[in-house]
Amino acid sequence: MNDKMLDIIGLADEKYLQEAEIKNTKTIKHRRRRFSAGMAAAVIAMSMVTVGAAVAYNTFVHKESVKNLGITEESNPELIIGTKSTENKHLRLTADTVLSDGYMVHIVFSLEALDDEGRAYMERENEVPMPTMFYSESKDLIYNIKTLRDDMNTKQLQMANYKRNFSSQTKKAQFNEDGSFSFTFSHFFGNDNPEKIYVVPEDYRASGTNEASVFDGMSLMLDVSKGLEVKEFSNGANKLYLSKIGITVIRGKGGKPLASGNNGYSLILKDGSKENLLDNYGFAQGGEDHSFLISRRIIDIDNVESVIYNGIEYKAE
Amino acid sequence: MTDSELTILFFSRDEKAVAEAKLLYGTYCKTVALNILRSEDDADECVADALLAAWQSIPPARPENLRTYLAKLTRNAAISRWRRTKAEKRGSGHIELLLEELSDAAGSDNALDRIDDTLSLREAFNSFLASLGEEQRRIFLRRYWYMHSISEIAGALGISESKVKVTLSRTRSKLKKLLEREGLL
Repeated sequence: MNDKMLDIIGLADEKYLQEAEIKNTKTIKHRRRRFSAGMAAAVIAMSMVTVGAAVAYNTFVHKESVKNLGITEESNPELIIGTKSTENKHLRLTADTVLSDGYMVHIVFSLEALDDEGRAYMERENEVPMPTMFYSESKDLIYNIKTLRDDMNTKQLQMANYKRNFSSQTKKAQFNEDGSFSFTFSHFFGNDNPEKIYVVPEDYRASGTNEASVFDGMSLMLDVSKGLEVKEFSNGANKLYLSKIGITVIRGKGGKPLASGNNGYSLILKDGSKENLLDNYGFAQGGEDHSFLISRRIIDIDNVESVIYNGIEYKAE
Repeated sequence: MTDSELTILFFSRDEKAVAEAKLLYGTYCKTVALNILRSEDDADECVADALLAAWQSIPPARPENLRTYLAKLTRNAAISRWRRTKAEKRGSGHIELLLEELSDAAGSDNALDRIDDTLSLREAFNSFLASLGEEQRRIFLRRYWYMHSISEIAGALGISESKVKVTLSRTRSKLKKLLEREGLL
């Protein structure tokens, strides 16, 4: 038997390959997760503090998820700013904390299953239940997920495609003891930081299809206006802004082009020691006019004397 | 990180592209390779091969869908590895089973060896796929592209195993007609 048939079948168009992978979520047989009594009680307790099926503020905080950033009620009570959640009959998505310094935003989400279909989504083999997240600055667009998909390359709309392999990056996503799954969403807005965004979760397998998504009907409005203190550093005309969640470097008028690449973001602490932020960063990108690094943990900005970016020291204003 | 951000890293020849691609799609690619090779070690090596192939091909390639692009590279790497292990008489034998299923529809060894017009064959094969109903196409590609088992397909699509088998049988008959038309049978 000639195995070239494998090569012929390998010529299939990508659109058919994507189509083939979609599961029939409405007819799939679910495996039932064994919830402990404590987990069930937690779910009931959370149901009592959320309101209806739409967006609701609540007081429940997934302490484990925000603790991954180094945030606890003892160390950074000001960063636990209240949460917002959205749910349908399958899943509940909660924004546990939203941190913005006017340039970038860092959001910690938690996802919980509310029925068998939601649990099936969270228990897919070889996948972490991390939804694709669309966001829009326009409320009108959040009700039409197809428009969001079609326009995702426009300035207002972008798609964040989260890491599905978190085994080596356990700080970024994890299953919590209460059965929820938490993950972080970081985004650099630059100078165009909006005051609020509308977030729509989506099952990536439903993208580009007309199939129902397990997230149908869910959306969140989040306040992403500046809420964190920013310390300003400079080197000539170029400015560096440091907050608890990261660093933004902006080339000033007449300033030298910033070095491209992410070759170094270091903090010089007040005791003279040096801390390399690339040891624990979320995302960094360098360009001639803008560079930024989003940290995966909270930076103690009061203990920073100066900042070195790509070998150049930026001193406090 | 978005696909477009990742593509920018590839185009700027930033070696972080490979690490980020592995973080985003490594597990998925490994699943694709495992379905073919059934060996963790071999699958890991295939993912590494696929990522290297992505590094070498982007640019000039600019994939519309990076996930599927990497899946294709992984499948190619896995089949190449399977061919090597077949020569060494290793492997689980499940691909041989797939080929046996396809044997009625498969072209003759000599005809297939003469294939040199990949473009026209690609068009013909995708026309064949387009002629199938959506469910029929999904079942066929899950079986012979992704190499899932009958029970995996039935479970994923919420249909019975017997329906999967009947659908595959009918699709193979259609494929046989295509190959006859193309003079490959």
